[in-house]
Amino acid sequence: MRAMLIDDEKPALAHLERLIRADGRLEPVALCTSAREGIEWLDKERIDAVFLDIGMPEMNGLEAAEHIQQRYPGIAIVFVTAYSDYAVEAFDLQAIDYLLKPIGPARLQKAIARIVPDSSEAEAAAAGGIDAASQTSEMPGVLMFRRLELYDSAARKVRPVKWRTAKSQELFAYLLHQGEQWVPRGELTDLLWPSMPGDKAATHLHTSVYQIRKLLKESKPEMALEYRQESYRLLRGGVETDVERFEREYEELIGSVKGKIDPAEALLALCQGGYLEHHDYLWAESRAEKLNRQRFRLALELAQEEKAAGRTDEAIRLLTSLQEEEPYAEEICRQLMSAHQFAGNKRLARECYRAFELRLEEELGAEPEPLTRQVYERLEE
Amino acid sequence: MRIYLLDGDRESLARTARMLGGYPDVELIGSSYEPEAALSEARGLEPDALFIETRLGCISGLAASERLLRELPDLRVVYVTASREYAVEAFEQRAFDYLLKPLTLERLERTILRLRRSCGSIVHTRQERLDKVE
Repeated sequence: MRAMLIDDEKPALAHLERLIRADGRLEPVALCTSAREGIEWLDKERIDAVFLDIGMPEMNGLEAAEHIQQRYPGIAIVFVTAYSDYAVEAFDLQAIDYLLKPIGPARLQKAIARIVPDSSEAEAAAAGGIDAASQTSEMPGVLMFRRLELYDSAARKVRPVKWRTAKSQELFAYLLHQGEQWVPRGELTDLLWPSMPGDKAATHLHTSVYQIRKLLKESKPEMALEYRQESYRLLRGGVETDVERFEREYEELIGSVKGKIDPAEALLALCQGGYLEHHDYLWAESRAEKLNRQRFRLALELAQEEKAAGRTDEAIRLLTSLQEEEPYAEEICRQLMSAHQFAGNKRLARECYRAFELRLEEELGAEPEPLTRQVYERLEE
Repeated sequence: MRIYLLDGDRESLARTARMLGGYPDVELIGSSYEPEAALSEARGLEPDALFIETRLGCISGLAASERLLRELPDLRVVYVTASREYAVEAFEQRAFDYLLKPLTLERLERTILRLRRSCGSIVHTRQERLDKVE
């Protein structure tokens, strides 16, 4: 799991980083000297836990935590501070832990144990007969949302891969994209080296295949890159990608999220960004769009069920973040109004409509749909 | 979910009980203003959550819940207190939440939402296991 450390004092950052590395369960991937810098990172990188100092200039740790909570409710927050005075506020912000400086290794280990699900829980789940692949707390072996990454489930962290060339990485991603299908050699050379003479492209392909095989041997020995009759395919040996997990569970959940709120939330937490969005592969675009639509539909249904289950706060939080992505979506505006009304806050429901109306007017020169207007008018009654 | 309530101050005990009564899915299975009696009763009732004051006169709320946690390790401890000073210790103890008096409906609501999620998921996993066994 990946951790971010935020502290305006560099020596404190370095000390905490050393302790976290020594413990080994979390990987400190980002060290930031201001909350602002940390929040910018979060937009780009998959982070599981944030260790946050409180006393910082500009934006303090409590403000930062509130922001992170709202935008990325799945991220675990641990305060690390010299002051004991803010622990009540830390509870208000649903922090996982509150560590007083100077931190010792034993106390830090306790905090990390609260973030990293421990092995005894995993064993208990296995004893209960829950299929390991369908158990969402277990991360898939290959990550393709946001960027291509290999996940080491034994170490519970992303295994950094040094790609010799961008083309080797793209070849690997493309073969994953094709499932376990055979892909003709010509298709691969046309895709990766379109302007190169055939024999030269073949040599490049050969080198890339060699690099991928070497990588698999080191990092994912259960997977194999096969060649037969001028075609290649990537056998998984049971390793699933996060995208395949999403597609499989999406089919089970969509239309029946009722009563399955937790699995739906867990599944949405898997989508930490668009499909391979970091790499800008043209061939990935249509699947990226499809996945994004599915994620969107699932999130909308989840919001509806949260509301129906009386968890209006959760519904509103989810809808608000969806609206940031899709500011002109009528369906979101309607659901958001209804969720505010459900929560007994008609004033916010009305504000929500007026802001939407104004946004459409100013940015698109349009008006809300009649149905949306009706929902609003019914509020006034 | 099943909640046990312990507060040495009768007025505040009644107030918290009244507020908890507003949630249809909250079952207040017992309450007491006397720590020793409360501990032995709660031990037998095995609540999902214990709402407890940090100041109980002869014994601190933290020590009291610590004793109960030894026997009920999954118990969710929620402090409802007039004092801020035990919040760091509450984190050490991995308390579920820490609410300041006077308790507001808005803040309590957030605790209940989180409790619902925490308790609900356990029921869900057990159900899943039962399904698998069948």
